Amino acid sequence: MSSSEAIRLTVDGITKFDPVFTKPDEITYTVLESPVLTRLMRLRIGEPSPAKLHPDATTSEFEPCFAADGSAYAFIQSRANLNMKLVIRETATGKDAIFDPGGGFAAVRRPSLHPRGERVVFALPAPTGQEIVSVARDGKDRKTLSAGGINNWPAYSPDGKRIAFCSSRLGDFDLWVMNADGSEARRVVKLDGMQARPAWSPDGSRLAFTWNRDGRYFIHAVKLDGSGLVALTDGLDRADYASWHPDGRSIILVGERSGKSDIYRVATA
Amino acid sequence: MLEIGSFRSMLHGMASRRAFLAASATPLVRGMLPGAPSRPKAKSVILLWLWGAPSHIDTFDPKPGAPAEIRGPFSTIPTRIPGIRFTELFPKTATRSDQFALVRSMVNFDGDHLKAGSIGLTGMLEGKDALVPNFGSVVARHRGSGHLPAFMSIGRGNPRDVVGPMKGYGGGNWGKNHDPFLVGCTEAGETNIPALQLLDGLSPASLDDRRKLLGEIDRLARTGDQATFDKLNSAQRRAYALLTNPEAKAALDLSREKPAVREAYGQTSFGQSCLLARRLAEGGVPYIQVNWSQYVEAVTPNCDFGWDTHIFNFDLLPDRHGPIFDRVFSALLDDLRDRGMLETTLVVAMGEFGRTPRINGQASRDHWPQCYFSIWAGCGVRGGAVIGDSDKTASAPLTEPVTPAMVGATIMEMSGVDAQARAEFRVLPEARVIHELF
Repeated sequence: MSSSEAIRLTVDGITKFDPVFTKPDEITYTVLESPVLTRLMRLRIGEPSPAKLHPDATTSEFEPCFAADGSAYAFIQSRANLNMKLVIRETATGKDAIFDPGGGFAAVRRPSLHPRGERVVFALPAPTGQEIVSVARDGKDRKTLSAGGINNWPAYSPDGKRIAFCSSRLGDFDLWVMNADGSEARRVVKLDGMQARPAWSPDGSRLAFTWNRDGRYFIHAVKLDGSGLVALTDGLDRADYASWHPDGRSIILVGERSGKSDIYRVATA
Repeated sequence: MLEIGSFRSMLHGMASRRAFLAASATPLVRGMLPGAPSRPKAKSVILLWLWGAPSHIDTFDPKPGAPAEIRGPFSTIPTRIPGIRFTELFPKTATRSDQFALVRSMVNFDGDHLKAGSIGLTGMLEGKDALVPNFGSVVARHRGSGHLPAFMSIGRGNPRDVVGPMKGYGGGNWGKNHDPFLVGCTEAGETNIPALQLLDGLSPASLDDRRKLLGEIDRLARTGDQATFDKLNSAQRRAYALLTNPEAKAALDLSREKPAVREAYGQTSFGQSCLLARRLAEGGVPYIQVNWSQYVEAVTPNCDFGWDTHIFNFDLLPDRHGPIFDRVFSALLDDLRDRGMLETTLVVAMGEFGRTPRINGQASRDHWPQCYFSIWAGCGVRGGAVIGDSDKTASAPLTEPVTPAMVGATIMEMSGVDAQARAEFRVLPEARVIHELF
C-alpha cells in the first residue's frame, strides 16, 4: 500500500466526520444521517454496513473520542439552540458525566480523552478567545490551558503528557504542541494555509494533520521538531480528519472523491 | 437623494422608512437612460439564499491588515482580480472571480433574521398590515407559468428560524397563489414535493407513470375521497398538474444527469439543489430560489446547518459551509457556462446580512446588517467587477450602500419587469437598478 493509494472503507458517499479507531479492526465516526441529525456509527472494517452506536439518540451527536484503555468515551451532544454539551460516558456502566458550558449560545467541541481517561480536553469559546480547556472525568475541575487567540482541535499524546492543537495566536491557524498542563506551548511548524485536526502517531513521534495547501485539504505528517513534513494523501478532492491505526502504519480519514464523502485508509510509511 | 450620514447612524438600530426609501432610490437611473445599451434579459434567475447570514469578513471581504480581534484566523488568497483577495476557504471561487461581480457594500435595515430576510427577499420593510411579495413572486406574476411553475423554491421548506417562518418567502398580500412552488432535494439528489405529502404513498418516486397518477387523482375526485380532493390547495393542484406533464416531471429528475455533472456539484443537499436549479432554468422556470437551509441556526436540534454561526464560526466555516459553497457555486458557474446558459441566466448569491466585524465573547460573530456582500453572475454582469467598498474593518460601506431594494429592482429589470411594470405592481417603484454590475 503506497502513500498515494487510498482504500475506501465506506461506499455510501454520505457526509461523514470524525473517524477514530476503537479497535484495530473497528472504527467509530459521525454521519449526517438526515439534514437535521448527525449520528455516531460503528463499523467493523470489512463488513458492509455500520451500526448505530446509540440507536436511541434523537439529537445530533458527534466528535467521539475514546480512552486508549477502553474505560470511557466522550462525545458532543447538541441539546438546544447553539448549545452543545460534553458527554463523558463510562463504557462499563453507561453512566454519564456532563460538562455543561451554560445556557444560551454556549458550546464545547472537539474533545480528546486522556489515554487513561483521566481528563478530557476540548475547545471552549471565551471572551479571551477560544480556549483549550480540560476537565476531569467527572466533568469537574475545569482548567484553562491556553490564553488568547482562536484555539481548536486539541489532542492528547499517547502518553498523556502533551497536547497538540491549532491556534491563531500568531495570525492564522498553525500547528502547536504544549504540555498537558498548558505550559511550554510552541508552534511545531510554520506553513502557509490553515492547519487543523492534529492526530498523534501511536509512538508519539509524529502528528498527522489537515493542511489547506494551495486551496485543497491534504493530510500531512510532521515530526514534533517540525522536520520530516510529508504528504500522506493525494488524489482526493479533500482529505480531512486523520486518525492513526494503533499499529502506526496507516491512517483513516474522511476523503471526498467525485463529490462523495467516504472513509479511506492510507499507508503512512 | 441619499441620506448617507444619517443613514449610517440609524443602521445601528432600525432604519427609518424615509431613510430606507432614500437609500434605495436615485433620481438618475443610468441603466434606464434613453440610448443606454440594451442588456440581455434573464430567461431565468437563480438566487442562492444563504440563510442565516454568512460572515462577510471570513468569506469575500477579508481584512488581513485588521487587528486579530477583527481579521479572524483564516489566511487570504489572491483572486483573478488584482488587489482583491478572498479567505482561503474559497479557492475555486477565487479562480473564477473573473466570471462574476462582487458587491461589498450591501446594507440591510434590521438585525433580526426574519425581518431582514423579508427585506432581503422583497426589498421592502414589512408594512404594518401589508406583506409584500418576494422578488420571485413579482417575476412570476409578470412572466407567467409554462409547464413548470414560474417561481420555484428548492429546500426543505420555506425559510424560517426556531421562532417562526419568514414573512417574505412568498406572495405576501398577493395571496398564496403567488407563493413559490416548493421542491425538496436530498443530498442524494432525490426530489420531493411537500405539497403532495397530503396523501400517503404519493410522491415523485412512486409516480412512475402518468396513468397511475391520473388514476389516483381521479379516484380522489370521484370516490369517497372527494372531501380530501376538495381540500387540495392551489399548490397541491399545481403539484398534480406538474407531475402529469412529462417534461415537467423530467426536469425534476436528477438521475437524467451524467454522473460527472452530479459529482461536480457534490453529494450535498445544497449541491444537488443547485443542479436541480440549473435543470429548472433549462426547463424555462423564470425564478428559482435555492435555500441553503430551512433554518438559520447552525447547530441546533432539528435545524439544518444554516449560516447563523454565533458560536464556533471558525470551526463550521472551514469544515462545512466554506467547502460546500465553494464547490457548488463553482460547479454551477461552470455548468451554466458550458451549456451556454450563463448569458441568459442571472445567478445571485447572498444572505440577509453580514456578521460582526469584531469577534464576539464566544469567539465567533453575531449579526451585522450594516455591511455585507452579494455575488452576481451571468446575463451581462461584468466578470471581475467589485462594486462598492467597505471600510478597514468591514463595518460599513465607504461607497454608496447597495440595498435589498436595489437588488430586487435589478433582478426584476433583468427579468423583464421594468420600471413601468414595477410601478403598476406597486413594487419597488423608486428603487434603482445596480447599473454598476453591467
